[in-house]
Amino acid sequence: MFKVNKKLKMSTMIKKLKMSTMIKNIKELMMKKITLMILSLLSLSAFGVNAIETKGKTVLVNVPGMVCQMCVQGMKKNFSSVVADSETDVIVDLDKKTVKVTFNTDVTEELIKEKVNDAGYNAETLTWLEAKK
Amino acid sequence: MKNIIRFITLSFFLTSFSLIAHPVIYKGGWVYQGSFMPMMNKMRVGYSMNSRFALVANSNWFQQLGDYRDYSLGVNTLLKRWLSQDAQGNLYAGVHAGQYRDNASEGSVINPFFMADWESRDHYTVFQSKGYLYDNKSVYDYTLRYGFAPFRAGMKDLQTWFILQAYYFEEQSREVLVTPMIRFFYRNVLWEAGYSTKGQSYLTLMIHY
Repeated sequence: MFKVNKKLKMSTMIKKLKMSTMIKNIKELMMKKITLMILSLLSLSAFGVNAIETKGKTVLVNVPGMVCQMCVQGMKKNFSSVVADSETDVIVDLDKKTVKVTFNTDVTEELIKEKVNDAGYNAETLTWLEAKK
Repeated sequence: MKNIIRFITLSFFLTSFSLIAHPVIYKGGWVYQGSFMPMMNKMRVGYSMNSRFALVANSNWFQQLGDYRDYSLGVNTLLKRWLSQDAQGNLYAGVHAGQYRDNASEGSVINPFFMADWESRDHYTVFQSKGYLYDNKSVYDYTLRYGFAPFRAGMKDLQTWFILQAYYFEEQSREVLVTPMIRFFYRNVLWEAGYSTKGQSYLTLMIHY
């Protein structure tokens, strides 16, 4: 009888230990997932990722300092991978210092700024334009 | 018409003199450039890896420097760019290394170079200095330019500039060579033509992609 009780107590203890270990593991896993989610959200907001679809949409970028034909060439070349036709979908206005781009794919605002940098300039502001109906 | 333009472009490209243009352009950009005068020419092919660095291949020829000719490879860099709303200022530097040959000797040569410019849609000014370090010699040439656009043209129109260039290369001549010239810029093609106060013709052609 004493032996049976002892066995019972042992098995109960083992079960309790396993349960607590399992709970501990689950808690750790949950914490890791929550932490990853928070970090992802933070990094997305830090890089200014625009969560909306951009395919078919047009952005107007202010780019100070553009003064010559080569500036135009640089913008068209660097945006060529995200537009259907760089001649018609990348419009540079040297008087207003703006670049108007109509995308044929989804892009982030960070990518837009990067492409302006690749052309040798800095994007001051980005304004999404309403699509013409 | 396109074939005529191509023919003129190619024939100008074979001779050249004083290369003044952006040593680094935009990421992925190619530049083919040549400047010609009767006793000198300079040619360059450049590829901009990004908006700050470009790989270049150069060739120079100076008849009055013992028929000096060199071929070199190097790197140009945009040290600093200042941007305001309607203008930009730039500092560039570079170093190229290769081989030279003249009437007396041949061997290796190093060409350091420095350039500063400021430009708006209507005016531009540039200063450039390039060194030729070879055979225990260090010689430098200097170029100063001022240009203005008499009118602003649209992006798809022919753009025109009037430019005055002062060039000094002690090894060639102890005088400053002054050359007024006219520049045309159409889409990705630039060409310049001028005639110096010493009676020397001048041509430059540049194409970028």
